[in-house]
Amino acid sequence: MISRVAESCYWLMRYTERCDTTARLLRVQTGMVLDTVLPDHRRWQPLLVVSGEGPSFEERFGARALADGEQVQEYLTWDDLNPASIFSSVRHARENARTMRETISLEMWNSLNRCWIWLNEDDSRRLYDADRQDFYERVSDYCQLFNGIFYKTMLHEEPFDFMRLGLHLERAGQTARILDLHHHALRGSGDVPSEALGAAEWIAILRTRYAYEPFFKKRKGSLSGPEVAKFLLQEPAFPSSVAYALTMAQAALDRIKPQGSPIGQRSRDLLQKVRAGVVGLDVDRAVEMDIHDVLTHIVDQTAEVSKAIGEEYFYAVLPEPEWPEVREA
Amino acid sequence: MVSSEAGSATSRHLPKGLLEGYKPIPGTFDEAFEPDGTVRPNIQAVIDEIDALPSGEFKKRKDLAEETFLRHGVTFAVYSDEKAGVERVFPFDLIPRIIAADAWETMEAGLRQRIDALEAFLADVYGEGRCMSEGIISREIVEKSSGYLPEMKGLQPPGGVRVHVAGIDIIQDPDGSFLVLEDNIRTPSGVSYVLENRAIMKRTFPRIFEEARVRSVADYPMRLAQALSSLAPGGKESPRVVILTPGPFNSAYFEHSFLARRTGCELVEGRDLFVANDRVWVKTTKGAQVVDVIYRRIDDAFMDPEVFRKDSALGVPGIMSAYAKGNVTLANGVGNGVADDKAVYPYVPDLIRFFLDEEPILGQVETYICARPDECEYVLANLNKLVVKAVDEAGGYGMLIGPAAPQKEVEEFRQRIKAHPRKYIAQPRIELSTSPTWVGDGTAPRRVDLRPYIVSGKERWVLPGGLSRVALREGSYVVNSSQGGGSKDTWVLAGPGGEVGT
Repeated sequence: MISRVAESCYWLMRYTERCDTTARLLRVQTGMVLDTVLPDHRRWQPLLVVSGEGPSFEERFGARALADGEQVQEYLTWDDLNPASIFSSVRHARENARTMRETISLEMWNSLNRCWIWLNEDDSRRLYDADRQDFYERVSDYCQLFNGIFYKTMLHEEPFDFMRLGLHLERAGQTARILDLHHHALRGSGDVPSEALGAAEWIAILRTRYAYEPFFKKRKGSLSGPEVAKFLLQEPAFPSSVAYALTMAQAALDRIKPQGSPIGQRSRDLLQKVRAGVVGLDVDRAVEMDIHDVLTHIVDQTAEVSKAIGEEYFYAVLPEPEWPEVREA
Repeated sequence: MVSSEAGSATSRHLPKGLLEGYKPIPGTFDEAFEPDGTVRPNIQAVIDEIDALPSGEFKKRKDLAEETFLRHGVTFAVYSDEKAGVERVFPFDLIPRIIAADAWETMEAGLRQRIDALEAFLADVYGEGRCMSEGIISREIVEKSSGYLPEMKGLQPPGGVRVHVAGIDIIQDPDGSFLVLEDNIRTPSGVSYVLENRAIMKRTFPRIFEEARVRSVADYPMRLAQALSSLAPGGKESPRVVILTPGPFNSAYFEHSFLARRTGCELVEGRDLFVANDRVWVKTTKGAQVVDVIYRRIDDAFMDPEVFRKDSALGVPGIMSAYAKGNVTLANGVGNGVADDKAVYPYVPDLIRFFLDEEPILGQVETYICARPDECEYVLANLNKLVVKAVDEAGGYGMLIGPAAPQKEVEEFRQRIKAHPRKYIAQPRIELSTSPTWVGDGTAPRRVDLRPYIVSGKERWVLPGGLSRVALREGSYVVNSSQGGGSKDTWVLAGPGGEVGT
């Protein structure tokens, strides 16, 4: 398929996945803030860290705003100058979709466009003002509806593979980032939370990744930092675990790679390496040593895979052409 | 059934419902009503159905239709807005414009004839030049046309066709005869609205639609894909056909994308293509692959920075040499602009006679050519009665409507014409026909034109109907979407025993 279109496929799903992650984070956090007593700086700042937008936020609104929940939510939800806000994610997703409507299904376009129109209407703002949690759930519903439509209405061919590649790499990176937010708590050092706060925090992390019930199905009653980390990193049956997402990404990349050609070798090798690292990780030991380094490494490696995919598939520098003569029939 | 009721004179009556109180404009042909306000007999059954809709119901359906347009992203980008690439919905009037079966038969024959002649003219202009040496049209008019490209001289387009897709603008004069107003044979746009409008009308008025026996327009994408494939270089089986767009910020991007979806062709931008070994290649995730046919929606001037505009980033460097070698088919042909030049238009009837040895089936509007001193003098003396058009502008820009324009604007045009007479033509203002149109609280006559589409590969095919554009502002004669125009669905009725189509 055309390289430019492949790139749009890849990014379309990264953006919708990112949108779901942000909405879910905000949904869980707004609930958690009501339930627990958190120090000010632990209430909202972590959300900015996940999105990577902490520094720009601080620059625009000042350090004191970091504790201002309304401001942070406004920024992560509506701000069109924040490239990671829900609003911007949907806009970017739709822009990518609009440049390749011939590639995505009509139903995907309609679903995404409906979400965009809704976000631009007063209706969504009213819901945001009246019932914040319901608003974020609606956003996530749109994203998940989109994913379902994607699986059912696209031909399972190359564009589909680039899409699920983007989706799963985004998901793997986000799970690792969210876990990393809590690395202090995982190690049990630093500003140690009380017992009760500890449990609330683990539950919040799990809920952020839709992992609450799945976790207890698999690890009956053993709620602890290392157990949560193991589950989110390695659980092979859980769709948002890093290992699961990387496995899916790898399956997509294996199908994409052209047979008998050097194209795609590097990105495939890199992805295999990061996946093997996650699957084989001794989580207990990593928690004791420095889980923050491990998680940062996973995030960086995933970003490198993404970069290699770009270089090999999207902007391959074409060699000085020695094109074969094409014979006329 | 429309045809069985059509002839009965006793059933003629005034509308009582949605169209009640409708008054045709005196001196203007109304497509649905006689001057006395009774319904035209050949389309009476359909008009009665529309008339029977309660106006509350009509409004409800109109809202639904508008929502559907927005939801489907049936939009065009507007340049004039502050932000580039703002998307707008093309205003749409739900009352269809109806064309009887026999009228369409004449139209179709006339369109085929006109395209035959324009195709022959282009082959001749870039070939032997008989029409000029035999004095049908002067060499000066042809060669000074901004659409004439000397680079194309002697070049044989692969497949032998230059006018792959044509959109001919048609109006109806006060007698109700169809006249050609303008030829568009470079990259005519608008067909996506024809198909989307139809889809919406079928959803909005399913029962009326079925009763009316409207001829289908759904074939268009398939016909286009077949025509393009049939002209691949060397007659290649299953060629790679792509649609080349300037990109998502182009005002017609929706259409480019729409056609790619419906034809199954890939949509590419200039940066996706490159030329090596006199072949055009597309960059894919599996390396470079050969492209055989390009339906390009980019103007000639931007196609190849090595040959035309050097600053063009939209085109493909070297593509003209691949074209010249016959290795890629470009649709439409390069250099077509000479044949739809407004200064060449007055000669088309003579060109039909010269190349085809036939009398023109469709009339056209009397035109004064300012390049001719005596005609220019007449134009300058009668500016208040005439419509003046710049020969190389489209979209309703560069136009003076003498009878309606403020005196200041008339004087401005007078100076411009004096300075560059070759750049202008003038025509009497035609009382464009009207069609019943919803105006917010009822129906009223609004002026319309029609752009039928003709697709040519190894065979020629005429889309039954076309894009009806309507001047939504009261008293306006300008139907362009950039100037407050909207569109209507065009219903060509199937004749007795005639097929509706797929």
